[in-house]
Amino acid sequence: MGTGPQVSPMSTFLLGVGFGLVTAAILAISTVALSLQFAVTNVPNFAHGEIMTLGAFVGYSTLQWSHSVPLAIVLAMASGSVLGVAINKFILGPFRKRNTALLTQFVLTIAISLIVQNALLWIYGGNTLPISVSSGLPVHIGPFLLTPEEDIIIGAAAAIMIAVHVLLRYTMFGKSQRAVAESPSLAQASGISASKVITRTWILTGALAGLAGFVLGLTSGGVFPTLGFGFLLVVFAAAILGGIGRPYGAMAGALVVGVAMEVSALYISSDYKTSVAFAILILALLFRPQGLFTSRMAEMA
Amino acid sequence: MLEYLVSVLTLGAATAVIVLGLNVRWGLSGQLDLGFYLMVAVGAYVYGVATLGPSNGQGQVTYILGLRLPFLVAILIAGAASGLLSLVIGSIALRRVRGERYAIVTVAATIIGYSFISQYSPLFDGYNGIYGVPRPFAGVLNLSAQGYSNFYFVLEVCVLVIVFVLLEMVRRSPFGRAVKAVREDEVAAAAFGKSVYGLRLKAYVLGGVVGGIGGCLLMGYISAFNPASWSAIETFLLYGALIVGGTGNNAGAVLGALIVLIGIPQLAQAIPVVGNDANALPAIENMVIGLLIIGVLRFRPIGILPERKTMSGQLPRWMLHGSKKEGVTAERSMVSPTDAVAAPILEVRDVRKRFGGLYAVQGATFSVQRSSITGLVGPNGAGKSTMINLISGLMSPDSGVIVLDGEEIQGRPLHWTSRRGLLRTFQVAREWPKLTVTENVIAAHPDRERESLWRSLFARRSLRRSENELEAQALATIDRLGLSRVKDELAGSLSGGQKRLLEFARAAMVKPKVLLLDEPLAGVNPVLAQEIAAAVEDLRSAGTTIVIVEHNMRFVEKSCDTVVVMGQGRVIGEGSMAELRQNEEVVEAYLGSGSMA
Repeated sequence: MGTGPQVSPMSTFLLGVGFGLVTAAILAISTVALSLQFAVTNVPNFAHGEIMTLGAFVGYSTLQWSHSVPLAIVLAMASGSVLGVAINKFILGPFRKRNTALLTQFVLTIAISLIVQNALLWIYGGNTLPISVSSGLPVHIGPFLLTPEEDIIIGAAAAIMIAVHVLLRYTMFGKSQRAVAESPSLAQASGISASKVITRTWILTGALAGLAGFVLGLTSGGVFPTLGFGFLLVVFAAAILGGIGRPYGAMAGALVVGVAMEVSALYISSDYKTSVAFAILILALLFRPQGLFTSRMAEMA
Repeated sequence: MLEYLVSVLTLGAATAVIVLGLNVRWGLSGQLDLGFYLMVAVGAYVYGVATLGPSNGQGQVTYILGLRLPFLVAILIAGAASGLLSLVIGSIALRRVRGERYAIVTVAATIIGYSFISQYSPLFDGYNGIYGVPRPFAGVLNLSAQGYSNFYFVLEVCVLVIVFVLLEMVRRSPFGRAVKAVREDEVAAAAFGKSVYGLRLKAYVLGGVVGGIGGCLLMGYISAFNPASWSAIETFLLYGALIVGGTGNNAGAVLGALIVLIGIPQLAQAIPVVGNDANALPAIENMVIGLLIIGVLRFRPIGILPERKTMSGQLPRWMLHGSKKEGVTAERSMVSPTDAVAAPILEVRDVRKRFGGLYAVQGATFSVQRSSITGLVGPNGAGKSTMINLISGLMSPDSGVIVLDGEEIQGRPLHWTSRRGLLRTFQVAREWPKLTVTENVIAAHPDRERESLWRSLFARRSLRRSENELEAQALATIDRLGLSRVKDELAGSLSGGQKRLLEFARAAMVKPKVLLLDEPLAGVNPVLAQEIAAAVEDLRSAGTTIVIVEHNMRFVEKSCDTVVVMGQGRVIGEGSMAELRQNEEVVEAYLGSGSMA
């Protein structure tokens, strides 16, 4: 844990918050993607974790081959988009056209998760493949102790959140996206092509998930086939906490869950880190099933 | 060859029991439970702990209680342990969440359980797991290795057969029918007084017990269990088996287990290994199972053996024999004698309901006379449907009093008011689509004592006569409403008009004190409208008081004794049509100058 005897309890706590910000940053990117995608399809994508894992492996392979981090990021995002679009075009789309029950569509995403995860296991094997980029020593920024690499991750996540906000709020795509999320048939009737919006949403969310997966691989020091799957439930916890389908809630949920996980790791065993996230999820579902950050009015609408 | 077959099928029988357990949860009850394998694991672990001997002093001290319990006791304890865990998880998860959120909570619960079991060593020795579990009866029997394998296989098949028969009994019992009704439409089930939560929880626990027993069989075969041998993915494979075999069909569950969980891995062993390590083979198997799930859902979503419907006149054999001592316990009609009290049967006093800033109902007051047919009319947005929702308990009012037959019922939930004799229908007919017409009508019967899980398993004979009687009663009602031709069709395949008639058949089965009909004539042709008018009159002459929300004024004029007119959330007129014609406010607000002339 690296906390010497001279460190006060308060600064230990703040250190935990600092680590939590890193987790929260990755979590936010992934959760916003999951939430945006859910908003237009109404199906929580259980294969979301596998899009992340694919991004991580593609990033890993790119690094092996080119040693270029920017290229790895671009290809990780591209691979996520391609997988997302493929899932939509070949599997979920046809079922959606037949008005398949949403719960059945959810089962389909589980099957997709099974297929992609095992395809990656087949290709790359089950061992953890080490992945790291040269990073500087941890530096104190305020009360936090973070590496430059971690600072970049937090900054990038913040930038992405702002970009998503701008995209949703001020662009034509954002407006049609929100319209489809509200009511696909009404959007269709007012001349918005719902299927086009859904495809574009998959491109965007796939890219974000791929990026999140690659960054997750970087920060956890290695890539393995269940990387994204293991992280998925934390993503769900954050998404549900924020009100699933609500991108701004997702950001808040990610922050709460990410920080809570890392802070709890300082006090109880870090083995129970994910259990803490799930405990938050279960409590949230029991006491506020509509999400912590949704007003009653929004729920009625 | 025989040895090989026996060993494969031994695994197959254990797996089949596990998938049967999942079929109770997902097939019968429709709960997408992604944490099912936790129940299997707990069954296996508890069985191991219960049968192991005392510590051998070689480090296995943390988990050995040295109980050395015999097989049959251990299997019961393990089943009970899984059931208990199900009860805890189910009573938390099933209370508030539904659908995919429920699924996610169940995965979360599994992963918490998994990390607890694998990291807290005093429980089941953490990552090491437990091993060296004695094979059942191995000490008592003096058999050769192969002889013992054969014996254990037969033992497993016996357990499988017992579980299968019990679950078939459950499926065809009133309990099974009620659980299916909740699966098909829980709001409609609550409207008929079913305890949605209780039925779901019982199905959840039953599935868990069966899964735990399956875990015991697995443990008895492989003798060891540790965290490396199970994960969340195990549950997905079980779903693959069930979806391929036929969700909701017990024989399908067994078939699916054999094809998907035994057949595919066996076939996969025949193909040459491609790939870079030992993971290639299981990876390919899992991918094949994933593709199978998608393919089956695309081309045959009902699976190889679809869920069976129970035909009328074909009661299960065990129901045809037995004591004649008990009939339908609730032969008591809910209808009180017509001339009992002169007081109104339903009173609504100053009821208000606000959505956001908008009052849907603002201070409505009216009463409904016993054995009357009362119309509730008004323009769209007048608050009529909200009123029905408030009276029936689907919503609770912000303020005001609603009295049903002398008892205040405001704020009580739907199933509660239903049990007090207040039944409602919905604007869009809410049948239970995957129950037959006859099953829909029988399931509407309000006697909930018949729907006990205990009785479906252990007091079956007492159910027999009541089941016969109810079926006869249901068929007579179906016949009266002209639905005989479709009595064994799934209700979901009926036309819109037939579904309307089915609602009346269900109502006739309940004989409620008060029946609230929400636009029964919406989208109905004139011929059918006449049949519905006759059905309404029939119910009234049987003693039911009827409240109808309806826009068809000719129908209201002909059928209703009293009419309550609502406008902008208030009652603006009450009386006979003739009286209302004199009421200027009413005429202006709704009826219009021409329509009443």
